[in-house]
Amino acid sequence: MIRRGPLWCGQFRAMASPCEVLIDGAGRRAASELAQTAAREAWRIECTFSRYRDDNIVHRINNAGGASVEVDTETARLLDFADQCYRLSDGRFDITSGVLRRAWRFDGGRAVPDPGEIAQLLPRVGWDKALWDNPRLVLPAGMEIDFGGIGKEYAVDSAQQLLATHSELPALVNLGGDLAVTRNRRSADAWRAGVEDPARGGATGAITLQQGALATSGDTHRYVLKDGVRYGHILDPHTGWPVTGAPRSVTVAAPNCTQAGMLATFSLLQGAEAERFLQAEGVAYWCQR
Amino acid sequence: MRLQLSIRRRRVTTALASASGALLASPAPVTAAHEWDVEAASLIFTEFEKVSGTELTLSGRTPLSTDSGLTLGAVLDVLIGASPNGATPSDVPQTFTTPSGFDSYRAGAGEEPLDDTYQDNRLELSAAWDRRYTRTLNGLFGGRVSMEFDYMSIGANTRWGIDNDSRDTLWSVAGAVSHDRIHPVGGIPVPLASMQPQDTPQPRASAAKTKNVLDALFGVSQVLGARTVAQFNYSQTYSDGYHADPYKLVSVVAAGTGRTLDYVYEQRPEKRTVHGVFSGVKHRFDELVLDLGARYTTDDWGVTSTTLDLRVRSTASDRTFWEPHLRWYTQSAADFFRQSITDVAPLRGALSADRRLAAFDAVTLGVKYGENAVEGEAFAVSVEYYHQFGDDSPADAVGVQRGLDLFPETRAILVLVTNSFVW
Repeated sequence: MIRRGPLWCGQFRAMASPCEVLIDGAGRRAASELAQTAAREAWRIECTFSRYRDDNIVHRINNAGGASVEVDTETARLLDFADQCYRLSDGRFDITSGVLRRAWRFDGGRAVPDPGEIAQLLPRVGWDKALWDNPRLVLPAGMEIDFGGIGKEYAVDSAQQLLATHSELPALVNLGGDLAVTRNRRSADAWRAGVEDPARGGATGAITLQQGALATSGDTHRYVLKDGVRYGHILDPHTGWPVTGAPRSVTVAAPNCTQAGMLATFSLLQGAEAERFLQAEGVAYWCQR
Repeated sequence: MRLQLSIRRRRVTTALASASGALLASPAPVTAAHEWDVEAASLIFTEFEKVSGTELTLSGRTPLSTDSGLTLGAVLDVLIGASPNGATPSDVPQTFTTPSGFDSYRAGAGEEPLDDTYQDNRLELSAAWDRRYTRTLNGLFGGRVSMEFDYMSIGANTRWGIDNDSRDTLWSVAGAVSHDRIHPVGGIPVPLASMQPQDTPQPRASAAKTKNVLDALFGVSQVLGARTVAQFNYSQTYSDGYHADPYKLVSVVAAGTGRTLDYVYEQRPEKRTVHGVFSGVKHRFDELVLDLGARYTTDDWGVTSTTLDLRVRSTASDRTFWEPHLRWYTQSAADFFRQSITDVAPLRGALSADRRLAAFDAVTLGVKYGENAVEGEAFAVSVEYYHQFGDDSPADAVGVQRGLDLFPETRAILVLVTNSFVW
């Protein structure tokens, strides 16, 4: 635990990102216990829903070969949420679009895939082809689901809820830039969070918040540059190609991190219309172009 | 226009707030303190040539904390027009004394006798306090008082809901008690005594009577997959006290001719127990929501009823909907219902010619148009047509009654406008 002014700071890595928990007040031991509670929750969710493991529900679903899989209630809630996001975004947010990443390698290089390769993958994309009848999911063989677009924000909220119920102490959970606070700080100070500037690669602005959550979606490090066109990692599952004209990064404030993250992702899916969408939704946001 | 804009605004944010709330299985997003979610409704209905009425309803809930809230409500009913007094039509004009005893009204030959002095205004005030005790247990306590110029009712109610852990099964238990007091114009008539001519003393038993009512309900609703919800309820209502309608008469007709000889005040049992079961299912197709309900009731007065209710909501647009509605209702007569009695029949026990206790069928056809609730704002208007019909030439009709319409049909139009907003 590191002392940072009146705050205790516990750091760890989860979901391929640097993470930290800030606790306002208390002794070192109590703060450390809270940080570990948050870290264990983040690791639990990573293990349970990572598509890179072969011992979890996502693996069972993706390898069921078209058979019906009965899922637990937490997975069911995530699938219900993904289902609603799919409908709210007119099919643009799609947890089955992950297979398109076999064609796209967003490593900052110049490899744009062959259109034929994408055309071959597209039949394997589309949540509407899945049969979700809680608690049973039937995914056509060859299709895969991926909670990557939801998991980190869900882990932030889940850890935040654990801390809020375990302790009266104000705390902030930050998983790779997506964060949520449990309550106002004890002093009149606000919680402060840095926002990364994609062009300069550093924290440029500090956002202050008393309550709620922030989430950032963008392609700061994940893009393909070809013929002067920058292809971000937000793919349109209808075409298989990245959405163009979108901001490099969008940060949205909302009562919870899942909602903030989804609003940020939805706005990127609007491409050039991202800011107009966020204005129409009347949410607090920061766009980097 | 303002409504349109505010519905468009924050559409996704609001939907995500509730979707993420469900994902995190946390209480619904906290509404700012002291805000009221208000629903205002006005109902206008007219039964052709009979009663017309307006009902204004205002209710609002404000959160007291993240887990509790207070709901206050008011209902104002204004009814005017003419109401059937229970007497049978006749082939000659008939004259009736008004309940006060100081006036009279007439029904022409062949006409349904209607008391055109009928009027009723009712004001009901209610308050309820709800609270979520744990993630899966919530409860409500409420009270209400209802006042008419000749009727008063006070009551208390409670309702409990228990979800299972995955929130796909909800058990409900509800109970209510009420105490009613009726003090009719002119007083409580002596049961089965004859109506007297105008300006002569009427047979009165007392000034007022009371009734106590006990309600209990057990219900379960079950989510069956992502698109289907089913519900089942059992309810029981027990009431004890004065059940009669002091303004209703029964014609005594000559056994041979069918002509009216006398009118007597009705009498009903002191106790009534009604059992009811309801079963319903809601299923979402791609752009339609089907809502089907069936209710069956039976009681110890011999009245059984069946209701089938079908609504189909079109959700093709996410901001507006259309909902056609069809309801079919049928009931059997109470054991003591008589269209009229003959002068040779013994006059004792329960007896009523109130058509609400007769056998009849009713069909309701309607359509509702609504703009969806977003941020607590919603608007809906529905128009319904109600048609009630019974046996207009029953087998026990005698003499001149055989040529008369003994169960005139009731037709009504109902228009309901509801508006929800945050205040």
